[in-house]
This record gives sequence, structure tokens and C-alpha cells, in this order.
Amino acid sequence: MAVDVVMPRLSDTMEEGTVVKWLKRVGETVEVGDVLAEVETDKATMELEAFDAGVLSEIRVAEGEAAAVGAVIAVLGGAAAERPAKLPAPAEKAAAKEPRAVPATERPVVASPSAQPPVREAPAKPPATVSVPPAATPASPAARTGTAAPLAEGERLRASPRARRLASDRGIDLASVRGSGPGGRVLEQDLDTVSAPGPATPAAVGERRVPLGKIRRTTAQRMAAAAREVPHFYASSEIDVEALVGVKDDLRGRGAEWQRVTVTHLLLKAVGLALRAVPEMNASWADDAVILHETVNIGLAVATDDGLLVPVVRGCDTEPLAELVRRAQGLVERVRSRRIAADDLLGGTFTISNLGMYPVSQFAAVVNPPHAGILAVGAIRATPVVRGKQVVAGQMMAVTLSCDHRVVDGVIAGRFLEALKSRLEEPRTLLE
Amino acid sequence: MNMRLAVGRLGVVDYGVATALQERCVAERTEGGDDVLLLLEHPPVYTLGRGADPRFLGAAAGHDVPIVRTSRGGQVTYHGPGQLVGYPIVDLRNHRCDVRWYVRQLEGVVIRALARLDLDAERCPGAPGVWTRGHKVASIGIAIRRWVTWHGFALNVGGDLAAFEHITPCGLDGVRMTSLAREGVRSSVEDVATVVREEFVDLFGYASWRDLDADASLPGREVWA
Repeated sequence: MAVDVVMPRLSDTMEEGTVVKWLKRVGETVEVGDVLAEVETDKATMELEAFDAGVLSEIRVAEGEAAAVGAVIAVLGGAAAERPAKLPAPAEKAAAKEPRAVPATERPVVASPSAQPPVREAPAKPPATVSVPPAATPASPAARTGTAAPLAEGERLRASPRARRLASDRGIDLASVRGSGPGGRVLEQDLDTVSAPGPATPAAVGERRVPLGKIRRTTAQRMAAAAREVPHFYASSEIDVEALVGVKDDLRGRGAEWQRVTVTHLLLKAVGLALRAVPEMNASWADDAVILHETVNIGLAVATDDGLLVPVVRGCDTEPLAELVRRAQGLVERVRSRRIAADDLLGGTFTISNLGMYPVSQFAAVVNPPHAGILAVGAIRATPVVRGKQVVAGQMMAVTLSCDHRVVDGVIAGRFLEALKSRLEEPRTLLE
Repeated sequence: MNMRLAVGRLGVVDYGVATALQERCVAERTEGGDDVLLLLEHPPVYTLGRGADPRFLGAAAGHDVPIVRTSRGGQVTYHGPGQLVGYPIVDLRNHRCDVRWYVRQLEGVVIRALARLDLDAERCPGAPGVWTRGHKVASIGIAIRRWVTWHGFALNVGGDLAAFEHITPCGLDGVRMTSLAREGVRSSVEDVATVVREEFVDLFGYASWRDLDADASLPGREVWA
């Protein structure tokens, strides 16, 4: 019977891998332990070894193409590839009717990255013509080495053939499915509780399916990871921006180079100075340590048609305002014209996300890992304010700081907002 | 587990010789030897990862420097004198069978070593390697056979950074490479290798380490003797 070769999981957090090279061609005979292909993820290539003998009957993922973990990248069919399988069909039917029965033809997925040298030789007979006794299937890695199983590889493979095929068709990673069968075996009905990832879900009538571009996909993965792993807390402050708006308007009258100055530019400088004053906030999480950055480089969340990019304005604490305006304008221009370089996106130590151009009074952003914080800036609102003991018409702006609680605590957030508020409310300090 | 590490300080080694040596170490490791850390320098060479796009070679294609296609992951990079190359032959089954974790460990070793040399360095999400002040100071490219690693990392201590300008390092447009020398750290490759070895032993949790048998009949020994 044909057996699927799937994209191996080389890391707990790996979502897809790329087939960089096929070392066997369709029609070629494969022996146990032969390297079928090399797959790559995160600058690492892994040799994918065969756990089973047979003939490579189909290659589904070409060299250079990516596939999700658990997706079928090839099929190893042995003689079954040429001969329509007679025996496997009933066996599979039986498995479908009686999912709890363990068919004698049950075989594990043929390739695994954990490939220790298999202890047993492959059956000499073409696998499709006989029922392979369970004893001929490679034992779990743990059983073979006698040491602790490094991966849950053995667990992952426990699934009925039908469940395995359905999972592959639906693009479901069996490792993510809790099996209800004996010993945690994944059965067909278990798959119904799992929603399949992207490609397998066709758009219904009245819907349109928009595949993710590279930027959106990266954003999705990083934000999901941040929401999952970063313990967030939030601290907000109301800033009286009457003077700040006055300074911005003054600057705009100072000549050509200042004509396009915005509140965001003033924020860059004010946040830069506040980070200098509270260096604990200018930090990153590094798993086993906190990194305190000596330079203050602020990423600006910029929306593009392709998704969100965060170009980095360097030296926000030391460079004069005019230089920050020039740098920020250059970056935004490069982002919008798609000429941004990797260097422009690297080395950030903090992030600002400004939605002040929309009627957003305040919002909280997701931390941009590994940064300690991100500042979400709302719109400037005309509102009554108390000055002295008088209620007068004023302009206020709400900022919300989202923090990684592993890096900073509430006191640091408070001190940072205090430093920021005083600079924004005394904006002459930004021009020095 | 009482894990031991054998460390080989090999000096300047031809790329092909080092590859053959690694192949041999991987085979020995698979048969139950100790984990190995090879520390060395290469004569000038451009290397392409298994899936690398040759376009990233750029102007390097016309130079005298040899170009080698390798079995590691990653794109194009340059090796040359003044660059500390580390090839750990590690059985991940004794650590964690997780290539991302392993890449992060290697980054961690370099970051810790640089911290001891008073240079702040960091990871860049989505771009493996080690970065300082927005520039890349160390590259990573590894290969794995039966959960045993080979290939590894390359840390620019000094050397010719101009050689990187002919290529698109790691396939990332606009990446600028830097070195410890350029960042103001005055250390020899030998000194940095010692610090890297210490941090490697510590971070991977080896109980002890020893020098790799230098008198073993390693291939092409005369080249780097």
C-alpha cells in the first residue's frame, strides 16, 4: 500500500519547511535509511530518511517549494504504484467502518527526521501485496534507543490510515490532534473537532479568499506568537497637547524642510528622550536575560498595501529633531515605494503605533517582540480641560503603553509615561 | 546526563578539508562518540547553502575566490582569514530535537561571548544570525543528519569585510556585515575562540570538555598543521 511522506517537524514552533533537494526521483527504488530529500527551515537543512522500502511513486512538492508541517510531500508506493492495489482497499474500508480496529496493514509514515538507523531491515516482498505484520513496523524512537524520546514523533504517528489520509487531505497536522482511540490513536472523528489551516478551506459563495503575502504572513505569525507568549500589561496617560500642536504649527511656518513635520515626528523625539531618561524601558527580552540597549532606535508601524512594516528611526534620543524628521520621512517614503532595505527594519528597541489620523480615542497595541514596549497613540481631541481652576477648551491625546511584563514592571511604565508626558507638555525641550 | 565535549582548535583549514572532517565527525558521533566543536578559519571562499539562489552571489562570481556549494541551510556567505568559524557536531537527541532551539542556542553562545568582550549584540526575529547596532556580525547555517548537526556559525572578528560587498549575504537585501574590529573590539581570533568555547560549554551544559585528539589521522591534516 502507498505510504505518505510528510514534511517533518524539525522544531516545536516550525510551521512550514522547504524542500531544497530531492535525492530520489520518481520511479526510483528506495531502501530503508536512504535519504529521500533535504528540507530546510530557519537556516537548517535536514536529511529526510526513508523508514520504509519501496518505489517513489509521486513527488508532490517540487524543489524550492514550501509545505506545511505534516503535509504530504511525496508518496512511496512500491509495486503498488504500478499495480492497482487489491488488498489495501478492503483493509482501508474495514478501518473506516471500525475505526477502533487496528488493521494488520497499519504502517507508520515512512520518513522521520528522528531517523535513527532502523533496527530492522525492510520486508523483502513488495509491501502492497502482503499484510505487513505490526512487528515489522519500526518501533517508536524511544523504544529503539532505550532513552527518553526526543520528539513526540512516535505519538504523532498513531493514527488510523483513514484519519491520516483525511488529515493530509484537509491539511491538518496530526501532531496537533488529540486522539480518542486506544493509546491516544487519532481516529477519523477526532479530525472533525479540528479546523484545517488555510489552503484546505475553500471560500464559500459570497466570500473571497485572500492568500497572505509574505509580509502579512510574517506579521500574523509574529503577532500570534507575541499574544501567546508575551505577558502584556497596559498603562495609559492623557497628554495635554495644546502646546505641542502650537509647536508643530510654528515649525511648519519655518521653511520647506519643516512643512511636512507631524505630531509623529515630535513623538519620536519625545519618546526618544523619555527612553533615555528611563533606560529600563529601552530593553528587549532574550529568554535568559534582559538586554538594555544603549542606542534608542524607534520602530514606526507603517501600513502598506502589503501589510504592516516597522522601519526603524535610529538615534531618537541624540539626533536633533530636524534629522529625525528627515530620517522618518526617508523611511516612510522607502516603505511606500517598496524600496525598503532589511537594514531599515533592523535594530529597533521600541515601537510607536499612531492611529491619530483616525477617530481612535485610544487603543492598546501588541508588543513587537523582543521589545519591552510599544506605544499606541490616539487622536488629538478637543475637550474641556482644567487649567488653574478654570475649565477651558483644550486638546488632549491619549497614549497607551503595552509592556512585556517579563522585561519591565508597572513602576517602570509609570516612570516612562511621566517622562514622556512632561516632554510632550513642555515641547520646547524637543527643539533643543 | 554527563555530556562531554571534544574541542578542536584547527587554525586555518581549507573548506573542503573541513567539510570532510565534519563528515567524519558526524559519522563518529552517530556511532556514539562525544559531541565535537571545531573552531577554525578558512582561506577565502564563497559558499552557497543547499537551497541558495546563485543570483545572491552577485559580483563575486567573477572573482578569484573559489565558490563552493554546500549542504548547509541558508544562502550565500563568505569565509576568510579573521573570521572565527565554529562547526559543532552535536547530537540533538541529547539536548532538544528542535532546530530552531539549536539555532537560538548558537546565537546565544555568540551573544554571550560578545557580551564578555563588551559588545552588545542581539537576535533579529526572522533573520537568524547575530546583529549589533543593526549590522550583522555572525552568520548561521547548519545541516542535520539523524539529528546530528554539522556546519555552524561564522563570527567576523577582523578580516576583509569588503568581500561581503560582492554578494547579498544570507539573501537579505541591504544587510551590512560588521566585525568585532569595526565595532572597536580588539581581540584576536584565538582569544575570541577561547571565549566562544567557554560559553558553548556553559550554554549547552557540558559536564567537561577536552581537546580533540590532534594526533588522530584526520583528513588533510598537513593543510592546517
